[in-house]
Amino acid sequence: MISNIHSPDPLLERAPQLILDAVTGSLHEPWRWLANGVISIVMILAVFGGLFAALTLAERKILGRVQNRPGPNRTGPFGLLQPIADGIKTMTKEDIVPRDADQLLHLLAPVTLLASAFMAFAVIPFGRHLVALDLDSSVLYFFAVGATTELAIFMAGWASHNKYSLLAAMRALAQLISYELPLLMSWLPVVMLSGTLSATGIVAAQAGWKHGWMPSWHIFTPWGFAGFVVFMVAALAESNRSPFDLPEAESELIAGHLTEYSGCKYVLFFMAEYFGMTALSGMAVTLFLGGWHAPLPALEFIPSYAWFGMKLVALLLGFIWIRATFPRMRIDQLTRFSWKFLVPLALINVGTAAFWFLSAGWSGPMQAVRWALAAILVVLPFVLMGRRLSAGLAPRTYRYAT
Amino acid sequence: MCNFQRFGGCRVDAPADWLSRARALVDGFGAFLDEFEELVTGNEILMARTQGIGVLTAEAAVGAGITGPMLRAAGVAYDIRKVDGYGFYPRFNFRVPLGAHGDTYDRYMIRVLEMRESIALLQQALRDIPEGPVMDPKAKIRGFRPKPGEAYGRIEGPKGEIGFYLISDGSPNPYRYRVRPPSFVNLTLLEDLCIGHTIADSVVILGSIDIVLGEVDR
Repeated sequence: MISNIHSPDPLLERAPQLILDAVTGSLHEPWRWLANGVISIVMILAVFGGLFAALTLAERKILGRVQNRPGPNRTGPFGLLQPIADGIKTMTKEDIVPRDADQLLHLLAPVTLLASAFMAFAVIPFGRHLVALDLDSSVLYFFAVGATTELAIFMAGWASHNKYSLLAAMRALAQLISYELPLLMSWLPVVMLSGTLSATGIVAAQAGWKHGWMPSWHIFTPWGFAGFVVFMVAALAESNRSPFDLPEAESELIAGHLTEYSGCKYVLFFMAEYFGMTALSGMAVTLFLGGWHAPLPALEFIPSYAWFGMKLVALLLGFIWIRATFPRMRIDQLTRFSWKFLVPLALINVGTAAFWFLSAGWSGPMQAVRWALAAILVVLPFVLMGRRLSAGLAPRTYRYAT
Repeated sequence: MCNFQRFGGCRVDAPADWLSRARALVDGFGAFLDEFEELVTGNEILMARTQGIGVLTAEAAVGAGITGPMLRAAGVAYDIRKVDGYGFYPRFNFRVPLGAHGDTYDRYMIRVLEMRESIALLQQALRDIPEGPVMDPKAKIRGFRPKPGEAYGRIEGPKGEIGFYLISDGSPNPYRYRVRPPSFVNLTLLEDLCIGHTIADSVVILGSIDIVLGEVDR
């Protein structure tokens, strides 16, 4: 076994596939397909449900440490049972539905939101052979499903029959639509360069090593880096995370479009937010961070799904870190930031990617020229537009009374 | 702290290791403040949210009786520790930072700069703290009868001027007793500061006034 460990598919790498074959291998074809599908769905629900529980605890712990307090530490060792306690508490709470609310829509809104967040996981390749649904246009499917979020949020605001909920839902819509555009345009270069809309195809395009050691992930190119940054900022806004958490601005609004939700339904919204964040991070790993590929040739013996998980958790911890350290934006600054900064940046990045594609044949000293030109195309608009965006803002010096 | 100080001194002496622990806290606070400022002060979002928001002019501040960091952020050099020179403040070296714009960012920065001055003050106080009894043995706590008349005492609190107005009729209980709460007076200008800004800004402006609800609720 030891000699086999550096072969393309070591045992640990194939383990999920082997287990699946052992369970469903004896079934006949339509049933086998069905059983495989059900097992994939159950596995995704279980793994990401567990990740959700761990993430809520990690978030509260990390926020606590950043704010110089211990965080939850009463339930179980180090507060590890806190997610269970939270679950029991919220599940046993009374579900209050306003008398004038649209009963059906009021129930459907959280369900739609959570279902669409879950459906996004179907096309993310978690490992070498681990993808529930290998569509030809899976990236398109992913973002189409993600756009259902807007529908569900407006549904929640409308069905609550509360003018504040409705106004907040409109605010949330304005934010989500503003950031949908840079989100979509940030991954356009990836599709242009890898020539496919399939998530597995995009991961395959990032295989191999430059100079024998450098991973050829998209983030290690000028357009890929810019695209990744725009994608992550837009993903922060799309998943209503700080500093873009205006739909649920805790200190300014009372939960916005979620005002009339309580107990279990509120938790569904909360879960959908975390699943959306996890799905977008998973897509960022797939599009820019090389999917399940190892970062160094020597580390390839670690199974692919472990690499995917590590990259995913790193991005999620980044989300929490950002939440702990950034103040919230104002709604006009939020939309201005999207339309005047992120959208132009993403548009220019499409041009940068086109240049990168056309200059693919340049070699020798022209290779350095190619890098320099692309880097200028990325950095110059960022600096110029950033300066315009923060015009008039500067730290000040103060005088003292004599 | 409320029942620690008495007429004539303090109720009990500080614990044995209190001075060394206080020194450690004061010496470490500068580094904490540096870290805090590195995170917050230069943050573009914070600057965009606070610069030019809730501008308080010096005239409006003086007219409304605003005191404390809010008044100094509006550029008025008025610190009761300097003006009255009460207590041990004349013996210590400290500076009074002044704002130039009077906006929310200035109110934030004045407080941060005053924290740095407070560290200097605490270091001087811990250096000079004398040995000796904590309570005047001749002080009478019970049956303390002030002469008939009125008195007003004021100090510079963290929010502004805390004043105590007292009328005595010669009995152990005051005839009339009135506290001047700084955050209550400072809050009166909230409406003027908020005009022309969004709802989200009103939360920031309210935060920059820095109210204590116990003072405001009257």
